[in-house]
Amino acid sequence: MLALLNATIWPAAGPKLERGTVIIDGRQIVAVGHDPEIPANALRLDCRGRHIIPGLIDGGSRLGIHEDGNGPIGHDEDEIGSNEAPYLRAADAFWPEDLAVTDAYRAGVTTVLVEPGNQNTIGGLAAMVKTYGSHVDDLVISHEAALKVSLTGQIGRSYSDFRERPEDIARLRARLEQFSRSPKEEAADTRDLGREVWSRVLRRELPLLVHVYREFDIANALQLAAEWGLRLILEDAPEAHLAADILAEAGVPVVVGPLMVPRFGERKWLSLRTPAVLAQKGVEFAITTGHPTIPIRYLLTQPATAVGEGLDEEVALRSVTLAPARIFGVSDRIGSLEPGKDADLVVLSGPPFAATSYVTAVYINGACIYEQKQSPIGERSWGGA
Amino acid sequence: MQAFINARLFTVSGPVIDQGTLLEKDGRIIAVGRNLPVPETASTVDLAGKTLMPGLVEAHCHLGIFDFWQAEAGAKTGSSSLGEAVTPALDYYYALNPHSPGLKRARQTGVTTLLTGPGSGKVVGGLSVVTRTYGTDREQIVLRRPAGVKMAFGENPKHFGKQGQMPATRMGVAALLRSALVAARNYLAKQVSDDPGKRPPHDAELEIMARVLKRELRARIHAHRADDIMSILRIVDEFNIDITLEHATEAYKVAGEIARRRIPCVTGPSYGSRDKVELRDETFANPGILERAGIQVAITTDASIVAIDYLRHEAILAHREGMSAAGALGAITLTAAEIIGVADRVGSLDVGKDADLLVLNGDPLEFTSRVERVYGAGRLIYHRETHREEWDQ
Repeated sequence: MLALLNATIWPAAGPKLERGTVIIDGRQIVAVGHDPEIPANALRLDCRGRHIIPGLIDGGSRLGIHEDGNGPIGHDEDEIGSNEAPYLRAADAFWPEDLAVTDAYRAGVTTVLVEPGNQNTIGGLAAMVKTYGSHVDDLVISHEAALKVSLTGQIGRSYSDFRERPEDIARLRARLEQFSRSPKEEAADTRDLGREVWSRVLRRELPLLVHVYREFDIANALQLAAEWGLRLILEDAPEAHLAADILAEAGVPVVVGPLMVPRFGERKWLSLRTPAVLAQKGVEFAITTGHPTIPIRYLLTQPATAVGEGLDEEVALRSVTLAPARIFGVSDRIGSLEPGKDADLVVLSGPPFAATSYVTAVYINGACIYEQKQSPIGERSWGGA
Repeated sequence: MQAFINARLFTVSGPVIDQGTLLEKDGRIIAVGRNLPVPETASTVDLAGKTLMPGLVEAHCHLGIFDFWQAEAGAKTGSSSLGEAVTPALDYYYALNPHSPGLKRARQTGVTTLLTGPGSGKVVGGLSVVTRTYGTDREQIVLRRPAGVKMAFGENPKHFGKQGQMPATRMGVAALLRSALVAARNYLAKQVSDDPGKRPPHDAELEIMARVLKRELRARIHAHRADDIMSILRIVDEFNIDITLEHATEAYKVAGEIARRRIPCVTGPSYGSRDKVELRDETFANPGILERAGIQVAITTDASIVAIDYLRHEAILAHREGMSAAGALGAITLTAAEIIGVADRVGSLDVGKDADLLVLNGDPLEFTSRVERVYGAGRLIYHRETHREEWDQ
């Protein structure tokens, strides 16, 4: 049992606590508060001056399936040539030894959504995966976090090589029509992996994670979801700020990002003000790096920049902790510092969005898996001749 | 005349001045300091609570030429007597569009000067140019031309091999550069021949390579891996050319070798993916390690590999991994200006320099600080409160 004492605690599920304590027992958090009773057998760690946040979560990455530093041979996220493969499972391609997985937990990112790429209309199943453990199955919290589809007609690496959007819509409509009429129980000799996935989507057991760019892509997705009563999650969505009202009305969450990328083509109208607009309109949202587009180790740079554009700090922290956990249905286990949750937490030298704060320790499932005792930050004086 | 008063002045060349004043006249800085008398004729801009610093300087990008595409795209065409992959005389000044969206975005995000030019698709790609990001007359906005010859080592130029041309290998890359330099040396030797009949006819490509040999033009050489850097250093030793290392991803592994030869490094863009094998060991600790070795270091976005908007963010990330705050700020202002040869005009708040100014609402090395205003030669070119995004009009 471990008690982390006297830290500023950002629980994500409630307001910030000054001089608070987090108690971990085994793999779980057992207490969070100003003055919880500390069992006599607990190891006490004074964290005066430190800040403790929940383990960070990226709700939209290709971590471990688009490997860093291995060139095209390490790119496993797009099953090109199979435009419709709902039974593909991202977890089957996840490589825990990807350089960026180590980067992730060292930066305090303890769980990520690992999803198929954007190039196929029906891309496959996304998984929720922790970033530290002994092997893949030890890491995966959910093999079936969502079915990834794309409404953006994207194909190939080039922006000149697109499918037409109506083609994507037509394909999705056809499948929804087809499987909404298929029988609930399968006969023993007619099992169909694709139908199984779609049936779960139609029964609202599995959310549909839809890659969208433009405001009208968002409207298209909302219309499809409303017609078939689907659980919908939107991702990327560089124009989400323009659709904030209809998103709020429909109660549909968005995983926005990557945001800090060049503005051109479909992302011409993206804005770092988007998160503040969504917060103001009451839309639930997470912020993603879209790793590798923005490297996963810089997950905090986007919410920090959004804070500069008017986003509340605690909401910004939620966008990379509790919000993605809720959106992908794993908030019973991760996303906040609350009793009963997995002890995934990050100790920082200062406030989460300050440039001079650094990670001093990372805990996953109650185990300290990384410690940084010396500050990596450079000399702070401004010098001058 | 304008007086910017009550600002926290990051001069870059000297100490930070709290509650400082900067006077601008005819587009130039005419005074910087504390408690300066403000002439009655000056219009005052009260910047209480704000940071005032020089406009940012991007030492390596492709804006105004290839705004939003892979840099290599523009450098694969053309050929010369020196081969398909060696085209020193291609002058990218002629591709610079002052009205480009890339330059517009740069000035709106605080970048007022940049070096732009060919990509890294060839061993010798052509001539770069240093330009302001504001103004519409190409003759007026260009600060230095040519601003060096772009060259490239490592993975990128090897694509010629796929078309059955040289180079297909790293050996081929180095051999082509050596051959071009030897050809230029022969050309120079023949020019001073006693027999006028042996003097060579004018050759545009060799003229450029000859200027490199005479150290009149800087070679700006793209390299990621330490072994590529060492190959370049052997050529530097052999031909005594003046170079910069561009990207210099693994420079930290051979920092002593680079420092000994006093070679500046333009590092980055590291706020991007490590897709390529040669980026495997990329780290934002690189600029700090180079700084401590005594090397001149700039930081680049390579826009639009990383969006030009986040040049300052990259400096913050370098600081977070060990570079001094002063070094990181210099890497996107004065040191960058020195490396691209325009430090007499821009890069610091010093008397006589262009009044290219950036106003932030906080510390320049905080992610949460934002761009409030940008001035180009004293003229307001971006104001957060009146600026409307295209979707907001």
